[in-house]
This record gives sequence, structure tokens and C-alpha cells, in this order.
Amino acid sequence: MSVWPEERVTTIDSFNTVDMTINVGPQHPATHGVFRMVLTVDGEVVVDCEPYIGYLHRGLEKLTENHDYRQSMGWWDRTDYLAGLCCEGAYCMAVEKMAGLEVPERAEYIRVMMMELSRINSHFMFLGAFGADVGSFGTSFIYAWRERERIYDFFEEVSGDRMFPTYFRPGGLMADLPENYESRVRWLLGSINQGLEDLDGLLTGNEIFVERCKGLSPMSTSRAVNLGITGPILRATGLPWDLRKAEPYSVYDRMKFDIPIGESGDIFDRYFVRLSEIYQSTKIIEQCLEQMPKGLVLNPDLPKTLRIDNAECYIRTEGTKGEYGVYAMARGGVKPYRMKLRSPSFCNLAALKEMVVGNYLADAIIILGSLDIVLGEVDK
Amino acid sequence: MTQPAPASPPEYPGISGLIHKSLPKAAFTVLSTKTDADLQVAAADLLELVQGLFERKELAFDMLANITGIDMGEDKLAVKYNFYSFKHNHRVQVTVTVPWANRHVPSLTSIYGAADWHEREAAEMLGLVFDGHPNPKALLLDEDVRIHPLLKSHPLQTVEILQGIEEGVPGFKF
Amino acid sequence: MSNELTPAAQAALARPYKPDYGSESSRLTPIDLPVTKAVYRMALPGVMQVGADTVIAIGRKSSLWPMTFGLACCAIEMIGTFMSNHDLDRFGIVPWPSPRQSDVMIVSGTVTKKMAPAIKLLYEQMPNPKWVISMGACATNGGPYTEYDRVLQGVDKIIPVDVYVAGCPPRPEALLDGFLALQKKIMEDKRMVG
Repeated sequence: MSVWPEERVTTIDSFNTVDMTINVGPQHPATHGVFRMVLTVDGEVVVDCEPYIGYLHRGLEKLTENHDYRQSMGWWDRTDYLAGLCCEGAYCMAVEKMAGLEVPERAEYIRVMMMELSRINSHFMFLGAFGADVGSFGTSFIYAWRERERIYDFFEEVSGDRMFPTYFRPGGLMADLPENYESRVRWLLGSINQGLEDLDGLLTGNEIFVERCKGLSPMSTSRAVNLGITGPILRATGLPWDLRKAEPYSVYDRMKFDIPIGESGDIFDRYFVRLSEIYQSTKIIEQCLEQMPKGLVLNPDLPKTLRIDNAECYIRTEGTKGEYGVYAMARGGVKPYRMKLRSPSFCNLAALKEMVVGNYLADAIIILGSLDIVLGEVDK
Repeated sequence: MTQPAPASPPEYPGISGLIHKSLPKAAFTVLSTKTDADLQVAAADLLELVQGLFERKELAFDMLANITGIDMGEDKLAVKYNFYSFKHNHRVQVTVTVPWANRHVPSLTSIYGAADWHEREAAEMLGLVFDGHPNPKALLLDEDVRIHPLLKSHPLQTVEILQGIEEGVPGFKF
Repeated sequence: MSNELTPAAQAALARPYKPDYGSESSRLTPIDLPVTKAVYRMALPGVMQVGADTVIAIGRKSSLWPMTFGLACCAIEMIGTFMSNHDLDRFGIVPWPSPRQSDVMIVSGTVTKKMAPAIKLLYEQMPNPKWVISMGACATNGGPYTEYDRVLQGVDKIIPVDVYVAGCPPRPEALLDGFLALQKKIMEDKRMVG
């Protein structure tokens, strides 16, 4: 039984439009870098989406093949440039696994602490940028950057650089933490919790934000798994899968933390999972500070030049965007034979078409923002 | 690539033994069992093996984590597939080696949606051809540039040195 | 499926690897600058004690509007410079997302050969007078990625650059210094830019 009279239906039919193609990017404020997508819209509804990537393809893998194991660190830092230390950790783990190097216990704890700080850093960037995408233009950005600058200051104090510390080494760390690190980190955690509270109040407490994000572009777990989606987007669909728990690396098996999950995999769930992960990361950092042993931070038996004979491994770590995997292969000599980055943003972005088609044009930008892509990692 | 079946089947440890038990007809050899199990198959047998890995309940490899193309030298290319099972939390690696002259590998896009971009990337980086891929376009490079940068024969760019060639202070002379 | 190929296709597959760069060199030709006229020197004659070009140059340097577009890692430091900790607004520098209304282009990151035509187009879309800041090692000469052949060895191969900022990535203070250097340059070049 139709509630609409026949005349009304014919009126709506007369609003039919011709499909129009809209190019978004590579320079567009909402594409988070140099991503380009060509959208075909029917009226306001997206009917087709063709993503184009590669505008930042700068040859990470080719350069790594042609350089020393220790020279290549800098490029791996610059893949996920919001959380350089997580990438460094994965790279070092791959080299250590191939070479059979031991890492001192204190170095493992410091690594976990620094990687979690990087994760917080990246998620704050997401919260700021996503708030800006949805409409709170500068406020969320400025709240998020207040905390980011403080974390950057700590990184600088530890290693000498703000964004790309290159602090890890195969077999340990560059140097020990400064003397006053414990009080500094505890102060930082208080500041992060304050920033989290501010952003939570600004965004989660905002009815317009919640109304816009709830129920938009939901995704089922089985489809997400088939598309290779990992990380917060997969957890938002309701699957409590985190590599830090599923296959614990480093000293994550000694940490107690929860895996925040969503219900339907919609945009709001993806946002809220990341917000909750910041809180879990602060818990991990606190445990690191409590359990931190004393000792060396660099393996003393490290050879002067690292040479690795026939070896092969696939390392998987929980990066900030999902499974950050490194496939590494060595066939003798001082250089790796092949190193492949399995970047989470790359795989998550491949699913963009499925998420965008059928939604409104204005929502396509939010859906792209909710993926939290980093183009350095997508294009390698 | 398939070896003749030995008189008594070898004891495969761990996950490769499980795969061998549940897929007795699949033609593969186990390369190493140190980290992940690494199964080597011929390109023609790949699709059948992967279909079995995906469908059998005791294996249930529901995620394709990674595809790596490698230039193995001596006119050979290798493709490494990393599979993961959320249900059982185990992993396996599958290797396909093809000669350069006949570098055809069947596409896995009919089974895994994730294979799409991974295969396009491997195809343009190493010149592999994935048979049955629905959209075999260039992904990271320009569409009219036909190069394969990750081949070992592809050269690096020479670095321009801007300073120190002329004598004296570098820069313009007026 | 390989058996169904034609002999020509099989021969194409079997031949050794030879890179083919297509029509790329035509896309990477540098921009021709039009000859600019110093019209502002003739306007407003003799009203003020200082020359009109000085007044106009002061006006220009005090409200630089950079175009917000980030290429790579340096974009994060560029955003950091715009945010409250380093606060570029106090120099009258306000980011603007459209090339049509902006004066300064900050090339913040690695310029690949795929992105180069887009950057050239953006530069052409900006109205005169316009300036370019090359931020970081990558935009200046390719930086750490200079050996890879899909990376352009410096954005000055395709567009003229006024200020180079060193660093990988440069600190926000370095970008601020770059803007101050640009303001100085605008005052020095006041007679040359029309």
C-alpha cells in the first residue's frame, strides 16, 4: 500500500538528473594529502567512485633494496608520517628476526612506550582532522594539536627530532631516555587525558556531530575481513581483533588493556574506537613506567656491519591504522634483497568504493576522513 | 614444481601438516617451517589450493594479508601470498615462482576482495600478469609510463650535485 | 590461460625488460614566465612621502595568504605552524584552500613526476604576484628520495622558487623564518614585481 498519491510519484520522477563526474583532488583540502578520486554523482548521490593513488609514490622499497640495513631506517619512518616510531619498530623487528638479534628488556619497554605515544599522536591527528571534516573547522584541530605538540616536545627531548626520531636501532635503541623521563611522561599522560576529555566533550557531546555520523556507511565484519580491512575500522565492526593481543610482539603480552569495539562499523563507531584507544594506550604507558627494568638499551654483541644470510620473514605489527606488515628477504650481503610494506592504509583505502557508493556527496568526504589514511603509507 | 610423491608421506609439523591432512590432493611442497609455513605451488595449481584454504572449515583462511612480488634473478619472478585466519589465528605463506618469459599468475580477486590492489601493484612493479583480474590498470605509476621499477635491472636516478663543481662560492655569478 | 595468447603477445612477453617513459618529458617542461610590467610605479604618483611601490610592497608582505595543500610529511609540520603553538596568524598569514585567492604556494613535501603536472597547473592558476616556498629537502632537490626515478629532483625544475627552507621536515620555526625571509625579499624586489 503506497502512502503517496500517484501525482506525487510522477513529480519525483521528473526530478531525474543526468550523471555528473566530479574530480576531487589531488589538491583538495579534504583528501588528507594527494589522494584523488573521481566521483560519478546522480543528483547528490554517489553512484560510482574511482580512486587514484600514486601521487606520492617515492620508491621506499626500491631504495631499501639498494641501501644498508641501517641507512634505510629513515625511509621507513616516513611511511606513516603521523606515527613514525610504529613504522621504525616494525622495520627493526623484521631486521632483528632475520638476523636473530636479541633486544634488551629495557629497550623493549621503552619501545612499547614510545610506540604507544606515537599511536596517541596519530589518533589525535585523526580526531582533529575528522572534526574539521565534519564541520567543527578549527576547534578540534587546535585542541588536538595542543597535545601533539607536547608529545613532539618529548620526542625531541628523547631523540633530537620531532616527527621522525629514528630512535630505534636493529638490536635496541639509539640512546637511553633522559633522566627526568618518568615525571615528564606522567605529566604528559595527565595532559593527554585532559585533551581527550576536551575532544570528547567537543565531538561526542555534540548532537550535530553524532547525528551526522551515526548509521552512515555501516559495514559487516565478514565483508571487512574479505576486503582486508584491519585496525580500528575492523574493530568498529565488532570484531575484537588486535595484533597486540592476537599475536603479541615485544612485551605487549605483559600489558593489561582492553580492545574497544564498535557495533555496526559505521562512521561514529570508527571515531569512537579511536577515541577509546587513546585511553587504552595511556594505560599501557603507565604499566610500562611501572614495570620498566634497569639495564642496557642496545645489544652489546651487535656486529659493526650487519650482514644477513639467506633469511625470510613476514612481520606483522599493530600500526596505528591496522596491520602494518613487513615482508623481508635477505640473500647475503649488507643490503636486504627485498622488503615489502603491507600498509594498512593501502588496504583500507581499497574498500573506499564500496563504502562511498550509495551515499551523499557530502558524506563521501566524511567516509574518506573516517578511513584515516596516510598517503605516505598508501603510495610508499 | 611438484615433486613425485614419496613412498611414505613426510611428517609436516604445525599448520602445514594440517593443510596436508585436509587437502591431500593439493600439489605443494613445504619450503620452510621456521616462522610461517611456506608452501610452494605451481602457478596452475594456485587457485585450487587457495580455494581449499579458503573453504575448508578447519583451515578457514579468510584474510589475504599481503602479496609480494620478488625479482629472484636468473629471469625468475616469485609471488608470495600471506594468508591469515581470524577464526583459528594461524597464518600461512604460499609461494609461486614463474619464469620471466611466461609470467602469468592466476588472479585471486574472485576469492578475496583484498587481492585487487595488491595484484595491481605487483603487476606494475614487476611486470607480472594476473590472469582474470577485472581491472588491470596501473595503480601507482602514470598510465602511459610502462616501467617496472622493482626489477633488479631497473636503474636508480643519478644524483645531481649542485654545489662544489665551480671554484669559489657556489651560486650565481653576476 | 597462457595458451590462448597470440604469438605476437607471447613474443611481447618474452622480450627483455626495457623501460618506456611515454610522453613524460612533455609534461615536465618548465613554466614560461610572462614579462611583467611595473604598472604600480606609475599609479598613485607623488601623494605620499615614500614611493608607491614601497607602500604596495608593505601591503603585500603583511597579508600573505598561502595555499593550503600538503604533499607529504612536511605538510604535518606546516599544519603545526598554522596551529596555536606557533601561530602564523600573527604575521597576517592565513591559509586559504583555493589557488585563485592565494599569494604563496608552500610546496611541502616530495614532488613526484606524477604530481608535477598538477603542481604546475596550481601555480598557473594563482594570480600575480605570487611566490613559492620550497619547504624541506624533498621539494628542494629530492631529499632522501632523490635516487628514485619517479621523484622530481626539486620543484624548481618546473616552477620558479623564491625561498628554500632546509630540514627534513623543517621545524615550524624554520618555516616561520622562511616566511620572514620571503617578506624581506618582497621588500627588496618591490621595483621588479609588477
